[in-house]
Amino acid sequence: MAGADRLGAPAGAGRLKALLPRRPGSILLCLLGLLALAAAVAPSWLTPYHPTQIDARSLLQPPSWKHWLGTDELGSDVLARILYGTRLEVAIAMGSVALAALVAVPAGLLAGYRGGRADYALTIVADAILSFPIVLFAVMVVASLGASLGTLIGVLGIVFVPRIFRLVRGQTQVLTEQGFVRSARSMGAGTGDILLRHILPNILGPIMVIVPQLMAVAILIEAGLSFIGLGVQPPQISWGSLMLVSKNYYVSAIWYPLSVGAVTTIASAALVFAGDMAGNAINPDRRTS
Amino acid sequence: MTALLQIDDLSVSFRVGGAELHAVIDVSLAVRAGERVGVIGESGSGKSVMARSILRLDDPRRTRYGAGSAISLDGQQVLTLPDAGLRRLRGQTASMIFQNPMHSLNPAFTIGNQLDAVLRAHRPDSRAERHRRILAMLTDVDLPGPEDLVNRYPHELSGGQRQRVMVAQAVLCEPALVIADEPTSALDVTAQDSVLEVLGRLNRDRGIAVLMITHDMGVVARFCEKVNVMYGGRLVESGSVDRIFAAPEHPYTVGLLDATPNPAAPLKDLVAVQGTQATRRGTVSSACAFIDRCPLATEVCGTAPPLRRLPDGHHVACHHAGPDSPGRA
Repeated sequence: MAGADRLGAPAGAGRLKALLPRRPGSILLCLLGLLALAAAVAPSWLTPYHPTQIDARSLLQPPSWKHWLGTDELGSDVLARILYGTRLEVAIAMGSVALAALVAVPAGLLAGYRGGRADYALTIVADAILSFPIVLFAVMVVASLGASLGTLIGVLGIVFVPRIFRLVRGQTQVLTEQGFVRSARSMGAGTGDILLRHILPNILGPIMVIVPQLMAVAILIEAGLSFIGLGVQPPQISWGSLMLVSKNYYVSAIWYPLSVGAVTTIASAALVFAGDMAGNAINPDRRTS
Repeated sequence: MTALLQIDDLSVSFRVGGAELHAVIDVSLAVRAGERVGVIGESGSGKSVMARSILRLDDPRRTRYGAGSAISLDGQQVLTLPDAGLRRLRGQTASMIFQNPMHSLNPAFTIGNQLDAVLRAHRPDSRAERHRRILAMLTDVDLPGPEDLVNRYPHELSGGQRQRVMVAQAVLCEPALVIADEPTSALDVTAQDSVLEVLGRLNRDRGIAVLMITHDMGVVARFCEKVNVMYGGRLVESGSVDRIFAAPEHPYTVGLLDATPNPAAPLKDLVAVQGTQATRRGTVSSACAFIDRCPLATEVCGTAPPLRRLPDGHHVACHHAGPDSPGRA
């Protein structure tokens, strides 16, 4: 066949190479992602300071070469506190979305493919969760179970379930009507085969778009909950709890709340952009360049 | 000899918005092993629903089969078969080719992977054996370079190539019957030609029976030995292709032929069948389904004519057809 070699799908190492980020934006996002993961796994590699190290001689110092983001009210390095707090943010973002996906993807597949009563019941539950104010829900849960990392992940996981569920259900409904699903059924494929082989691989794209966006939401909600005292409790450090403390020093040490706020903003913006880029990469019609 | 596929008094209806939609009404037809049988009719004539019923592909919660309906496929009662038996039947005893090849392959997997999944589901063959079989089958449907093709994704193939992959998938497990639901309607004439050619060869060489669902008289003339004409959910005429083209009995068949370009008489004007099919929602009229569009309609047509056997073995459902028709006074 003419042109076969040119059109041939990349094999082995070539295929891996195709996955590497090429544009400046995606390279920057990947570096940020690696930085966040490194901070979550081993923050001590990134900073010589310990986050709870108290130094009475250098309270609320402005940024310097020694302390890039200054020091806090106890003389601890702010950058070190932010880096050590990353672990909690990553745990909350990944944990809550993973928990939600674990419930919502199978439920969405089932509801979208089977339709009928199961679909009706699951959709009602999802809509009920969606219509409940997030903060009120969080206050109720924290008030009854106490504030902890597990509670936060649980609350956000429940909040995210209907968002993933609706996406998966809708995509599944569309795909179920597609020719290749009908064709697979006519060739004797069972329900499990159809859901796992013919539907799930084809909705991974839209799921990859919504996952980073929900992670951004998780980080922002954690910040909000911690800010009103419903997040993790000291000595655990999260960006939201840093914000809560730092706001007291916005006159005497403006860089302190600004640093924490900037990091939170950059992280959630990066995640939102990552979702958009995933969307563009998946849907060629929306590619801008 | 019993027929490979025997459909008896098949009625299919769907629940649509509180009303019953009668898609297929009392259709009976048979396909013997190795035969090429056509089903022709316009959109909404019920031909595709009839075809899908053979493998019971419609959603069981919305689909109702009439009380006396029976479909026997290779000796098995399709309409009462448990799901597991049904899945074994699909792909192995009979398989189906659909209209739109652009959507009939899973975009997430390579051609080889998809064909292999079908074989894995139905046969205990080893990996090497399955691979050999897939390559042989792709060659058999005139797809060049099968070693390369198995690593391709569907989007890398043309519509004609994809439809031939679908044909390969349909015959991969050597079914006795292939149901082709308008397999060429979405293709240009060259690709149509190659798909019909491949199906014809599989029929001749392997004795696979083909039930060809189409709205194209040209496809029927080229491909089929027998043809069934459907109108308004009913079978209105049935017989050999030669007989129908030489002397159509039902006024609808006459209309269809008058509306089909004939290369032998290119200057003859084409005549459209006037009007549209009556809706089959709610209760179905007891009159002949074609009464509103029929040039021959008289009072007797107020009762639906049964499918009658004419002396030469041809079947027609019209009061005005045949030498001794009750309507032809």
